[in-house]
Amino acid sequence: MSDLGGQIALITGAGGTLGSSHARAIAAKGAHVIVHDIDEGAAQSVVENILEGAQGSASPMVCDITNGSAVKAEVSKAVNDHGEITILINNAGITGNNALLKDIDEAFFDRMFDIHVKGAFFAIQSVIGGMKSVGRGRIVNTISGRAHSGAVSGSHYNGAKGAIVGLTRALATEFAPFGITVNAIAPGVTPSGMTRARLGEDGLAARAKQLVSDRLPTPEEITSGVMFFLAEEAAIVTGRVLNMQQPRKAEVV
Amino acid sequence: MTSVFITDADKPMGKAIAKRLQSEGYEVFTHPANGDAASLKEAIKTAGAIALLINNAEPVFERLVFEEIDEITFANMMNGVARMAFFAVQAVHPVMTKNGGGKIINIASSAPVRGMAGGAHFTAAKGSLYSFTRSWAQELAPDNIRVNLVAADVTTGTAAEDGGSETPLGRPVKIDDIVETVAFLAGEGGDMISGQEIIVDGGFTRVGF
Repeated sequence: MSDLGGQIALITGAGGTLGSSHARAIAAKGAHVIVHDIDEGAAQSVVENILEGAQGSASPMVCDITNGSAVKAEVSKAVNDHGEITILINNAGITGNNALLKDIDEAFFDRMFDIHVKGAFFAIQSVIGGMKSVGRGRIVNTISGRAHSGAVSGSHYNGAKGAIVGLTRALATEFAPFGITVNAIAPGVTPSGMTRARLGEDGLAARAKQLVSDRLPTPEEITSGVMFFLAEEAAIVTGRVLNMQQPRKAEVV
Repeated sequence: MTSVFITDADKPMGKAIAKRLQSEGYEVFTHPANGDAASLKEAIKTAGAIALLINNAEPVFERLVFEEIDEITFANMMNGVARMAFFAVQAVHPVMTKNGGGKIINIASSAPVRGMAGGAHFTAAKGSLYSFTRSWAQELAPDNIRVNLVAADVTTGTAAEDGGSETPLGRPVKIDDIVETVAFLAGEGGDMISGQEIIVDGGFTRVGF
């Protein structure tokens, strides 16, 4: 994969398992990584981890991703300090996958859409002027295999991810003339803190047994999908979803 | 008489669907204009034995450069499409379950499949309907409820606006084309169809997307 030296990357929700994996990999390729999280301690710890390992350069950004004006203000500060952001990974998210339709109240629905859809939308809006001015940009959104497959529960989560699929395709069309690509990864079940909290260790192990590989992916394996979209060689790839959800054994005919 | 609940039934597509379903003997119900989730739920409650829900979702839509879509415009679009559909389905679910089943048809657009410049908010909102459809089809199947999507490439935000006025089939899509598809899914032809999307675009979306 090509070197990302000289670039500035913003990764939202980077205090978590997948986001921190993306952050470490992107920093190791030479980009300065802005580690966003709503939890200051989590963001700081990922930054320290990158700096201590002498694996690149990083700085924290702490704000609520659902607060569009706060995101814009924080991005302006970061751009002042480091330069225009040319890589944005919209990774921040919450789970709700077990919730049944009848139990999802308005507050839970709004929180799900605000964090995933509004969060991604206005994070992109906060960096897009910079990307256009530089004439280069890579935006990678995080969806879920559930946007494509649906599921028997969590329809607010699945619907929010479907909205991001639409957003990805719309913006790929709109930003292509500016040298900016917009893509998405669909991670499938990953042993992240978020999924571990939802399924428990036994649940994760049971999921692993259903998969053709007999194991869950590592965070680094999911990060490899993100890294593909960031590579110079992927300049023509846009508006696409890389579905990294593994086939289940029963699905293989 | 069988009841159908249609959201945004006062808009062009909603009116045309309502007229067709009335002619087939449905009694048509809708919600107050600009209703929130509470008034929508109330309207569904008073409508009684709804057998068919059409999430018509015809929001005000103006093509805007991405940077010009402010938080209010974004919120109005998401509320008018995704949020309204979600809480309409939540409200009709117990009604249909009690009556032994029903059908839900979500009206979307081909934009989330083919992409669209100048319509990021519209495309995101309609994109949610694709995933809602796939999910609800699974979650509500045990209650004998079918959920499908019809992508209507007519009125605003259409493939026609993006150069598809000459569809592969040689003419633009008309509202009647959508009405016929909805009527098919609402009728016996749709009895064993669930979780599917039908893109009514004269073949446009298949060309190079």
